[in-house]
Amino acid sequence: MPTQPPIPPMPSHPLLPRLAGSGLRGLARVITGVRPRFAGGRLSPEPTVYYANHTSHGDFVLIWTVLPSLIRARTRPVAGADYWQTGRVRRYVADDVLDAVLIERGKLDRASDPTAPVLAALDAGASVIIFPEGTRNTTEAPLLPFKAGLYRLAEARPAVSLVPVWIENVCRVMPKGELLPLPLLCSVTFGAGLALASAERRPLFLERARQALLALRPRETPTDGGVQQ
Amino acid sequence: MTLVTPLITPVFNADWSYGAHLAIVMAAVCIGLLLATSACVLLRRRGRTAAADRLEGIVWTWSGLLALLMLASMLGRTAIICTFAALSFQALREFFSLIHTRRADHWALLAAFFVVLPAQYVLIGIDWYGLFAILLPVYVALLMPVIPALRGDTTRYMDRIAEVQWGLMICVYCLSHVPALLSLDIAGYSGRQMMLIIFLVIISVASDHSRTLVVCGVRPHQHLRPGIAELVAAAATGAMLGAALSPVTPFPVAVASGLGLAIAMMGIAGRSVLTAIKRDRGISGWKQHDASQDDESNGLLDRLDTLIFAAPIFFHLTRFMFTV
Repeated sequence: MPTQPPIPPMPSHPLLPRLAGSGLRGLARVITGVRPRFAGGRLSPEPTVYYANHTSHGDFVLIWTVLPSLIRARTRPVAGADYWQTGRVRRYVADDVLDAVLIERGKLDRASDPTAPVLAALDAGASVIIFPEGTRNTTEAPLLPFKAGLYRLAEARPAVSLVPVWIENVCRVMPKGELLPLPLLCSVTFGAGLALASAERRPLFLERARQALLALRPRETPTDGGVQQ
Repeated sequence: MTLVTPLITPVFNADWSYGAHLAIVMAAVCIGLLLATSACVLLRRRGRTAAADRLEGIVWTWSGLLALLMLASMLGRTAIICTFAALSFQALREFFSLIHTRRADHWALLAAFFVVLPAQYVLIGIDWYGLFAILLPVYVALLMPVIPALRGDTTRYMDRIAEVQWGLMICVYCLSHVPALLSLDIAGYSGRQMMLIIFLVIISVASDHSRTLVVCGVRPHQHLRPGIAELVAAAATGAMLGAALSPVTPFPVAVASGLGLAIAMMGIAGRSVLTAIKRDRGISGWKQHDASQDDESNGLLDRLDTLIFAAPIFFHLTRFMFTV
């Protein structure tokens, strides 16, 4: 699938997608009462990679909802093309409302480097949201091991800050396979940005990034797992 | 039992003495809130910002709640019931956000929000005491655990069903006894039951305030185990206010003072119990996930805890003593 051309950093969205976006954010606020916490200081409008835990399709929307509007306007989620390009509604949401950077998953051939469109977006001045676990976490573990994508981004753009983002409770609002959302309260915690240290090896860096994300958990999670007594 | 009439019965009679009572009580409350606000200003001048912030938070929330109550009472009985249903909803949200549940509980929780809660308030609306008093402790308590059991997930099963049931009891059952006061049929007092709600709310607020004021500067406000000074302050406030308010209630002075005392003591009990739950969950306020934030108590449940425990006791004491 052809990738989108790089976009200017502050695209002027047409009215309809903008309204749809506000509607989506309003819905997210009503259902989850989501509140941001900034554990690592203020967010920077510079191109940034926000990496988050992934438990539900609502994850994008929640991060996107709590981002300050100036930063939100230049932040694009990174999503799997296989899911978001099927069906008109999903495609509309991905392309026009969320302005997603769509990447190919699964097929790993040399021709399609999945990080290329993300790097292009960063170079164009946008920030991106990625889920380094690679897929939705439906296990008991709080966080799956990270895929290599985060490391590759850090390696290719060492100047770009990597900000961990912990999303709490969304998996309980809408567990995989359930139809109706529960009106539980969610929160989104932004941590301090990190960068690849010189000569840091891949497994070490990925584990460090993973621990930085886990450290943002508000408390021992009340969701599945993580509690032994 | 007629199903419709209670819903359209106005809360107020066109009764001038009742209106006058209401006006006097409300004026007194406004003066109380003004005094509390000036206490905030004084505290701030002396550099005790933390205490001032805390007091200010309480003043604001309760002013809001009283304003809401007044507005709802002007709109009528249904509006009051809907107001408390909404408060229950938000409280339940705060509670359920912090408990251990699993995917198998999804439908049980949905039912709690969208079936049990509305059902409880509808029963109060149609004044069906026989059912609203046992809906949660009997029917829901027995039927709710069936849902996760049928879905076959037994991990931490006891914890999960117990927590869901507790959340419902606190946030829905107990709180719903506040609007239930409207349906108490006290001889010679029909159409004035709104005053019972105001009596309950004022005493529970004021005794809570008195606790905060007593411990200001003496030691940090410790909700879990109240000190002697706090107990005395709350008890005295409850009993004295109860006696002072007795002319606008159906109670004789001694009984009103005793009820005030009971409300104050149940308020302290509620604060302790809900604080223990918060400690257990590692949070300091019910608005979720702010354990690391400086705001000590910022959720709805942090404000309603005293009222939640006092309401059913006050309801049943009044019902037992003053209705048939």
